[in-house]
Amino acid sequence: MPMMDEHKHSGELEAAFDAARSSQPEPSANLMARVLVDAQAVQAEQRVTPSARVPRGYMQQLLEALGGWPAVAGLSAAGVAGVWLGLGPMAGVSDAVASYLGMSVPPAYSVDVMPGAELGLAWEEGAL
Amino acid sequence: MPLDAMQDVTDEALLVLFANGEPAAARALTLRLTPKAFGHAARLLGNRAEAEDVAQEALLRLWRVAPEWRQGEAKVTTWLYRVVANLCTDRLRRSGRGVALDAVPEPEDEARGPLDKMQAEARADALQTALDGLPDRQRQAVVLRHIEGLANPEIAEIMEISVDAVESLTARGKRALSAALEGRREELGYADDG
Repeated sequence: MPMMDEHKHSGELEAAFDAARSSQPEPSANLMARVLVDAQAVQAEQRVTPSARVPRGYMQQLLEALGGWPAVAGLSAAGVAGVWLGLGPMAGVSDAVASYLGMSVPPAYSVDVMPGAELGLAWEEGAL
Repeated sequence: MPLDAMQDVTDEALLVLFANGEPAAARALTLRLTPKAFGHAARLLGNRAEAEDVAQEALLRLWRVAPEWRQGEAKVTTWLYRVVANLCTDRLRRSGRGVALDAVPEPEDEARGPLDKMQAEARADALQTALDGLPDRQRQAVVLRHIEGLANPEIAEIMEISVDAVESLTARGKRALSAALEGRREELGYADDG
């Protein structure tokens, strides 16, 4: 396209764009109403959603966070086991530490030559 | 909050107010964004009824994303133009193109004489017909640049392409439009313009 023609065509195209800009398609009142109804409906939904939840106390939320009652039952069992382990003498505790803690320590050289004898005696005495 | 008090509020801030349940924000955004969404859809589709459906759908999607809108990440209009264009592309693909051009109502312009008005209408219609003949991406780029008046970087963001690609699309689109309008110069009064 020669230079002069190109300028002329560019001017014509600009005139067409000007005409298009000055006659922008306007939305109908019906469309504006439809869009506004949608907007208000979505706003209403979004307002309802958070308040629709029943208010819950901290204990209820903690219970849910832990996984409900079954999880809490498991936790209780673990807690009881922990208490028992804590009160009983620890197998791995050295004699010196056990002694310091006030635990009775069997003499290191004693050998039980009749294992189960105490149990048998207790049985005979009707303690069991 | 009265509507005129919202004139200086940005679209992004209005959307936050909308998400907070402010009824005036819903009205202000509807008035501000519906003409943009509808106008862009009408240019891309060349069909008024379909453009209305697209505009409504695009805005419905905007209302729904409002609570998750992250300030400062994107302009609302950029997001909206992108959604409108995607919805239009889907429709054009489904319908196999060739959508008839509906009569687009022209705003009243008292300052111009009836002949000038008729000529401007004829030029706008001819341009729309020529736009309808462009490939989708060229049409979108030309409309955003030369009719919506957006800058190339924003168009690049809307179309998710580089600025160079936008320039290339608009240049090719304008060449094709010039060629399409060439045969109608006299009819559209360009010959009289000199």
